Amino acid sequence: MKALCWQGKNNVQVETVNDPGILNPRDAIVRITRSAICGSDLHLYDGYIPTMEPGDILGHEFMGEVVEIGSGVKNLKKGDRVVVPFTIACGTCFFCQQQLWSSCDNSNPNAWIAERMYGFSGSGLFGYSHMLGGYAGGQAQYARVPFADVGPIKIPEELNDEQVLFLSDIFPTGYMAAENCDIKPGDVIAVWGCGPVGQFAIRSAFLLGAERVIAIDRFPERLQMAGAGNAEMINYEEVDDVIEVLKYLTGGRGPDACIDAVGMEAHGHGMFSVYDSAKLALRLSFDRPTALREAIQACRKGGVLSIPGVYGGWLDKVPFGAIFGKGLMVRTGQTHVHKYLKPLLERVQRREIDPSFVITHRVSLQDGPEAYDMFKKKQNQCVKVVLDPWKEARAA
Amino acid sequence: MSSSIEKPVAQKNYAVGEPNGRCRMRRARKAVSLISGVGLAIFGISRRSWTGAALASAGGYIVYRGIKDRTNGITNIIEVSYTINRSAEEIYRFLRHWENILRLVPNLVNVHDRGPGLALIFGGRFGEFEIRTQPIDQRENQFVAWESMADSAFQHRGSLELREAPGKRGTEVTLAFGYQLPGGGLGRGLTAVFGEHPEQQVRGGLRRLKQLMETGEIATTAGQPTGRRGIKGRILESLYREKMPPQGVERSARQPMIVGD
Repeated sequence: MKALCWQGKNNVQVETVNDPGILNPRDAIVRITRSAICGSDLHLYDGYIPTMEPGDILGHEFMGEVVEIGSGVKNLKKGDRVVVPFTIACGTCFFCQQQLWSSCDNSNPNAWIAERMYGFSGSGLFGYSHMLGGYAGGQAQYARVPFADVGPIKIPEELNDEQVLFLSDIFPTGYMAAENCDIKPGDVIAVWGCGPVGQFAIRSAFLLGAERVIAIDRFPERLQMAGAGNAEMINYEEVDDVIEVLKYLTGGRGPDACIDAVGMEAHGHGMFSVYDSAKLALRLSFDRPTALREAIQACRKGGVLSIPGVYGGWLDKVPFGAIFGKGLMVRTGQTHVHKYLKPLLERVQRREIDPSFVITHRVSLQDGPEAYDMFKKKQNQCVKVVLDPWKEARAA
Repeated sequence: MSSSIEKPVAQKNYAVGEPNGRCRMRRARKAVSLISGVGLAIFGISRRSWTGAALASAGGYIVYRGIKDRTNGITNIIEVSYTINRSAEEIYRFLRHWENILRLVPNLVNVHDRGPGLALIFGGRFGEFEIRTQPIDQRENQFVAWESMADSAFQHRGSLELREAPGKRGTEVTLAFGYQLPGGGLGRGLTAVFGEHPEQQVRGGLRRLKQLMETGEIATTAGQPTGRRGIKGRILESLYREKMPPQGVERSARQPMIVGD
């Protein structure tokens, strides 16, 4: 089959690799019909996530048709159309039973690496470094899905691929970020980063009853997309001080909750940003937490700091005093995707949201490497790229 | 449950042995281990890449093991504990079958009951070898303890204790393992880099037990497709070692699971 493989920093290639097979009784093989490039894939592309190996198959947002099942999978059959959550979870450990699916104890074969770094290991993920399982990803024509009796959700015929593909990651991720804000009537939510997760966080905040949402980014097309979702917009390059603007916009109270949908590669500005870049150049750090610092500083007293953005290692110059001084509640972590699949699919079925609004580019798998480059450089007003793994095969 | 047991498996009782003096050998081994470790670390640092960083840390680890070298007699003790979301009875029943143990212990390929004691046959990277061991104590659904026979190549003692976890979280499984590794600090450093250090094996074995008991299978990526690895990829593959499943894992992928009797 064809697959997008990581070959090092800024180097993704289309390669012909073996088709995946069933390795464990609870596996299934899915013929992928649509796959997407995630903002977090750019952290891999930029070489910031440790424990990648040249040759790793990328991709963790995918869906398709079940073509093979292991002896332990009873709830799926060949031909079922499914969306696959990017977190891999066993369904039987303590954490899965608490709905903390992304903390599954049993799905990471390389848990020892994560234990060294974090004390404990989270669940395995598709196509996201060996520390997090080393599972081959879904930017390919087929994928092996472990614990297929627990993860994949069947999709009714009336919905097309693009309407449901993002149930695999970014829609639940944005939704969980908003849910973590404990939104009450009258709440104002500020969202740093209007990439795909930020977009879903904005729309989810409204779905959950937010009064106002303020979106912060620097790319006009992304801010416009946020505006189309009823958010107010701040282009941080056009204002002197985001925190002062937020105060002004909230009657001096500050946002009730702040969502950092940027993560480790914030572009940033000012003195700390230079300091972060210097540390990165010296390989002393992986993370540039500019957005996080701002969100902490801007949040109202007793507010919530919700962090769906990805961080990898040790953060520096994080104003923890402000977290303590204002009594902020911090909520973060990989998305417990399994928990949100059914309720969010129902919202899509009820037409409360059409997640395909975020798609700006549709390309074939063959054009994946250029798409990575375009997405990284945010050229052609790129917000979200969807890959069709079979486009060439159909044309031939 | 646990309060009625007067710590019969006080792990250290079984795990610690008496040191004997072979000081010069130990110093020599320590020196070799330090020199090779420092060399690997310098080479690694000079590479200025992830591969280099990995090599450097591997080198550093060998140095560390060399400094920490206190072999002779059973002086290395590992204690690992996992909570398994199953009852002590289920776990104890599972562990009574050698076929199941083969799936947990990396490189353990066979067990012969030759009496007195058992012969455990190991395969793998460092060739085939035999370890002779015998049970010394057990209590149903609570603990088992064992030790190597006097003529065994690998001197060790171990105990495994099962205790009910609070709040219906299953069973706390604690494994204590004391050993003496042939080859001293260098041996330990090398086995650690290749993932065959006793501590890694004990931890991995217990993790596999948890996975099998809770999910019925052992999580693996061995045998999945990959793109071109190249030299760098192969080195990393070896360091992260996800493509080298212990034999038990490979077998579990192809054979039905055996649970208890």
